Amino acid sequence: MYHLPSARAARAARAAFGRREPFRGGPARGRRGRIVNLRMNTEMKRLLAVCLIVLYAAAWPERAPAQTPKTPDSSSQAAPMPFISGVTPRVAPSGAVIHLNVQADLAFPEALSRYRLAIGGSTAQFYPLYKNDAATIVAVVPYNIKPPARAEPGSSFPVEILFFDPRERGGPVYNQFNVLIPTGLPGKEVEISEVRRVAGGTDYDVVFDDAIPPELWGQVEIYFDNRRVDRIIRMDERLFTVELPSGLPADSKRRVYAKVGKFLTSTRTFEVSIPTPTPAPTPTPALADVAQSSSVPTLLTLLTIAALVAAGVMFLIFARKSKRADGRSTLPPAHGGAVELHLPEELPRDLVDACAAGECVLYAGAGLSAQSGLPTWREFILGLLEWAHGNKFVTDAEASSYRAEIDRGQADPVADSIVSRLGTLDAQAALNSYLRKVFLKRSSPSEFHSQLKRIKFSAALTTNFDNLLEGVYETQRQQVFTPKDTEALLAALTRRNFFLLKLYGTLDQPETVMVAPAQYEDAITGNNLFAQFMQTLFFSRTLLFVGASLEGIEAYLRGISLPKDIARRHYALVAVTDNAWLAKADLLERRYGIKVLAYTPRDGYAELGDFLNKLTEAVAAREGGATGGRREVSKLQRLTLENIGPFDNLTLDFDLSFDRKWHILLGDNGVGKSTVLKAIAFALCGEKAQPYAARLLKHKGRIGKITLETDNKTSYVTTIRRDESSGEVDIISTTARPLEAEGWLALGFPPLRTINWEPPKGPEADIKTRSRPAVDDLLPLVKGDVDPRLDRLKQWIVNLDYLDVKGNSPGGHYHNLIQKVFDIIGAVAEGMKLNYKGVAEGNRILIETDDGTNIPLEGLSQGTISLMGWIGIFLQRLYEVFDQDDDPTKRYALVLMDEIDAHMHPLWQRKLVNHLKDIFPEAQFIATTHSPLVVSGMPAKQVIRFARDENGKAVILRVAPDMTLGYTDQILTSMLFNLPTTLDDTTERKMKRFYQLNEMPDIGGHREEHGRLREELIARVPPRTSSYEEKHEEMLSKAQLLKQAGEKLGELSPEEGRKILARADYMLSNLEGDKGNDPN
Amino acid sequence: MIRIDFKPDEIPGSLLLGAGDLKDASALATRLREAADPVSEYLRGALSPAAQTQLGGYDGSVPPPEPLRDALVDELNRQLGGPLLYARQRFKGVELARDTLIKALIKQNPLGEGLLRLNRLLLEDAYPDEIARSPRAEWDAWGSLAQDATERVIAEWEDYKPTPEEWQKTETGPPPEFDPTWEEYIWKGINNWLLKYVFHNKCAYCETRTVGYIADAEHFRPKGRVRTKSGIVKTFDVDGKNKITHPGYFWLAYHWKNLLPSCNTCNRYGGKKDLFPVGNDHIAVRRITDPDEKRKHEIRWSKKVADICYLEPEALDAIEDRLLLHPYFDDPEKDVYFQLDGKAVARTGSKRGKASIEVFNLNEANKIAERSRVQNDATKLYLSKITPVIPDMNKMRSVAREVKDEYFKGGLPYGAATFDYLRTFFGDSVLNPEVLLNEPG
Repeated sequence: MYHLPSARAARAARAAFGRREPFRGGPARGRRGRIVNLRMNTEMKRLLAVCLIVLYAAAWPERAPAQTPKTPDSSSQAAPMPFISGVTPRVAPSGAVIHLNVQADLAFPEALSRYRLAIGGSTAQFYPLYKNDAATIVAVVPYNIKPPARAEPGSSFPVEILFFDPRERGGPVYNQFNVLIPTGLPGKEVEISEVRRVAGGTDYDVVFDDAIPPELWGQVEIYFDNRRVDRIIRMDERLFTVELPSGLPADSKRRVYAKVGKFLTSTRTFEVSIPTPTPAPTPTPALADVAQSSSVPTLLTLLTIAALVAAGVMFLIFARKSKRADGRSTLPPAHGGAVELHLPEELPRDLVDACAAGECVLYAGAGLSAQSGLPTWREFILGLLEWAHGNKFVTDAEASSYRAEIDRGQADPVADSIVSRLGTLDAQAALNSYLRKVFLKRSSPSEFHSQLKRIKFSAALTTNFDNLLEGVYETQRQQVFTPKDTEALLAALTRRNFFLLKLYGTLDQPETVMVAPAQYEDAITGNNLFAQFMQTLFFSRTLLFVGASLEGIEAYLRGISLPKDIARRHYALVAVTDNAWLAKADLLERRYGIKVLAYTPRDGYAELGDFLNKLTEAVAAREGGATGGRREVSKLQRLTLENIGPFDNLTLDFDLSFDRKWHILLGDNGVGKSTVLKAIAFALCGEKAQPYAARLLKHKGRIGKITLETDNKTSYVTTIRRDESSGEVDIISTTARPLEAEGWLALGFPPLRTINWEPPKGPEADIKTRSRPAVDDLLPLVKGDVDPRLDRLKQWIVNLDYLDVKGNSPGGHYHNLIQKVFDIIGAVAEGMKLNYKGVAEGNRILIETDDGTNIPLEGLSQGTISLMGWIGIFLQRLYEVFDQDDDPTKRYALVLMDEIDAHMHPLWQRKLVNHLKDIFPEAQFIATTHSPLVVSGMPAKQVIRFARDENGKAVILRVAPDMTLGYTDQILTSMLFNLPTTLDDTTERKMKRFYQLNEMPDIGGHREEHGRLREELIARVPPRTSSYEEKHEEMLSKAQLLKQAGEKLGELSPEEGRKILARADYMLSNLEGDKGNDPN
Repeated sequence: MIRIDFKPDEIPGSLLLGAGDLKDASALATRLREAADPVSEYLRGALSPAAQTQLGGYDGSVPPPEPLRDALVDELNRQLGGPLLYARQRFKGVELARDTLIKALIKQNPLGEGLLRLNRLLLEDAYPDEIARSPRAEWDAWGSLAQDATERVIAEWEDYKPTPEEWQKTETGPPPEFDPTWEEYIWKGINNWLLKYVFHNKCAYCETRTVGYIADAEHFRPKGRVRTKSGIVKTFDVDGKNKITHPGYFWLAYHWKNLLPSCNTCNRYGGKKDLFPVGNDHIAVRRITDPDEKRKHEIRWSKKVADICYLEPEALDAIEDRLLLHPYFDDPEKDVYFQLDGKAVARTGSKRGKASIEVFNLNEANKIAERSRVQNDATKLYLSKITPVIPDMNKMRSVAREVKDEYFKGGLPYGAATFDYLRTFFGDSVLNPEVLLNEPG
């Protein structure tokens, strides 16, 4: 990882080091040096944890003659070394980090930024050093420092100070001061003071002696005997409400203890009695399972769905009843003066919109196939009955009764009864061959089919068995799904790929075939993923029902519960022959948002044909001959938080105009930057993030709300509710999530991004190169732990390498893909060469660096690894999700980055955003940072600055438009970086282009661009001043002078005057933002 | 960097006094009348009786009447012609501002014009508040010293290379051992003169004001060792046979065309020093025998060795394909432009621009920053000057001219950068000073 210093220099350093207090002549450990105890003050002792850090000098094998400490070996060229004379740990008030006060004699104190403190030897984690006051240097390290894997308790691991020059790509050049911190720290235990059962439930409150800082909540583990609690329902300083681990027998006594983090172990234990579950007031089978269930989210989901289904069914029953009552009293008699119904002249606007946007889904009923000479539903059931009767599956008596029922419009129960009689495999086979005979006979698509084809539906659903739609849409086998293929359906929906869903199965796969509506209902009930698919479909797509009867639509939807708040309207073109339809239609509209457009069928459904033609034309006109079909993916446009984190009420609008899909959240720690990101991620995750809901809810708040709004004006609301009596935190959200509904690939990255030294074990047995967006992409951010995916990334590379070597890589596809990952990282980490050199023995990924040596991936600098980590994961996911694309980097994705600048060299930070904009032009980034350099050159609208007002309330500060522009030193104002005073990267790019045009012999076609750039640059390139304030003043006075000149120039020539005034106004608006074109 | 129009022939001032050269006629008359110092005493004694009478009737309360003034000018001009004003005792109490120059001239023991020049300088330094300096007198004086010094250094070279064989001796190692006695005060003097009268206290390369600094006398072509980026320059011997280490353009050490006052950053730290990149080969001492060739160049011939010559700057330029911009010979605007942020950029394809920016260190961080600051100030200055005269086009034009002159012919720094900025800032507007100045009318 770094160059070892020359033996001579090391010897010299040891010599000098050895002479220093407090290491001189220590007898305690003989040759290994002396142990020095560093005591913490009492207050710290009261705080958690690391009470004692033992330092001792490393095992110096020899002592060279004494030399000058400053220059250990002045006669040689060896560079001087830094010396640690002591390290004092101090736990920060939050308890989450330790400040290591380092008393060190640094060889180049002026270059402090190039020193790193390293912990952990070969798996070193690097931490920057800061100047604390005149005398002390500080490294801030996370509380849970991870020692090397093999360190036994009581052993030790090294603290080193390295001189690290990022521009010398070999890594740090000075090395090895083995000052050791033992891991077996005699720490103060976290003690449980009380364990009590929550009244009326199976949950327990575990109360600790001391408050546990929120940063450590994620590390709290509570055990009942040796069973770890799966779920902590509530975390609140001292009080942790937990759910009983599964599988504990009732009426037994259990020992309760807790662990917090690495070093804190409770020794006190409690005995609790596990009560026999008391029967709930209204026992249901689901509730009876509670005690045994280990996965409550699933359980809750089930319960919710069960409840919703129940409600839905009841509603349907009720609605049906009321319909009957109403129908009789208010509608004219069915056979009375028949009313002629027509489809609307005017096409519904939203239907046209949806079609044009490629968001319309066709639902094709039996009526459509009937146009091609296939049986209608009723005809089919009659035929089925005759077949079953003929094959002796039903008796004569049954057959005659069924016939009568069919005549009375009760075809569905008949179908059910017939199917129930086909118990044997032979019978099933017979049925299948009958169905094939009926439906797969030669039939040609009707004219309606061809009309429908011209409307570019994004998918088609059908209850029909025939393969007309397959023919019309020329579907591939892998585009045809049945309700069993839920994963694939969700994936297709997400990717916006065309698919055909055969709701009752396809005859090609006999096992999927369902004949009776009841079969279908059974099949989808309890299929959560299918329910999620349907909900997402209803939420994000507009359905157009064609050739379906109202009864058919109802049957299709019966087994599905949809949330009530779906705002989207769907359309059903339904032929009605009598008047008895209005209430049914009304129900569909109220319950499912399906607007029934009823018409009286005449002249071979000419009216339907007209309607479809009109729709086709309107859509074509809307698209204006453009590509059509695939709509641009929606983006996140607005975030509203109510009672979330530090915010009572916060609305963030994300400016999405061209080239502006970046937003950076700036601010001090604790003002809610990360909360914003976490809230977005949380809202995207939905119920899977339930365990973290409590953290997001405002302290003592009862109801919190996160609303994500897309630029399509679709809102996704997630509500977090804290039950006042139990303290339990629940989330209520629409099941449809943007991940599926909008097809978003969304990723969240926590600030801790590092990589494990362990290589992958080898290529995986079952390599999947495609998958759909998943909640797992976001959970690490919500959790806030060290990102576990970085090791997945290594696995991915090893997998790709295996695929590449195995030879099923057309045109070196997989190899190129890996190389692309490194190219992109090389582009961002300017000045670094990263050549992928393959996977070596032991599954080490080898990288060639500038000096031509191959080093393992883990040996790269922390900054590079951090970049590598998240950009690599992002690429990996893009290539997995959009694996059909030529270039998945051009896809939309939402990336949430906490502390985007973490570990980055300032020079990289300055250009980071522009580089990423070039590489991922369509991605929407929302990131937090502490570094003003990241925002340099960005439009102010894309920078959101948080702060606390005098009352401690989190507020958003206005970012003046010119605040982010200018020279790096002006942007930084008070921050000290050893940076050249160059312009922000965006301005520099614009300037380059401007002068490029300036130099062109014939500017011709670029005149407009040239002019625009000039106006922009005049406003963007500020004079050199020492601070932002001065710069602002200077620019302002210049703009005002220009304005005066412009006003007077109007006397000479109005046109000339206008030109100058416009320039002045532009400059002023750039300084004053929206509020001011008035210089006064 | 801006183009500088400097022709020694056009240097103002004459050696003889004019009425305008009396900065303070009454003080001069009073000093002469009172004759309190040895110089005044001597001069008074040398006045014609008529002039003495006129002087005696002057009480110093009013400016001297015209006849008296004219008489004084005439009398002093007569003194300038000779004999030498200087005598040790006479000038004992006089603080000679140009002590080195005057002492060197005295040593020359000049006659004729040389004597007149020396007397003028002596008079100017004896009456610094009363008599104006003649730039010409000083220029010519330095020129005469430079001429002598050049001959001396060439003679030293020819002593160092006494035989024709020596001329061809291969010299490999750096640096050449030719190390003549340099008369530093001469190029320093020329430099100071140029800085004051030609460059208006601005660096010849970067236009940074050097008030308060002693500007370096920059040898455009290095007088000693010559380097390029790739190292110490080798060249051919006089006959173009053997490679020798370039001895330096020692014969141009005192040549005014080779002396450009420059600031520290341009010449020293990270700057030019002894760098001199060329497109062809560097030329050292040459032997030219072809009569056509002889006529082609302006040449200083060896007085000792036949056909050996020392080429003048223009002649060298023609052969060497000089890459560095020279303010007298080039128009730097054609090769270098300045961005809105004060950064210098070579125009597309300009090798000279590129090399000059690099060698003169034009993009040194402080310079860029300072330039940018001045660009901004200049814009404000220009706006505040021109706004009051809008819409009078003639006045606007003269404001533009005035401002431009202050930067290009006066003491304001960074003219090139400033006008590049104004050009971009005002674009096609009539306020663009370029537009104003180019408009007929």
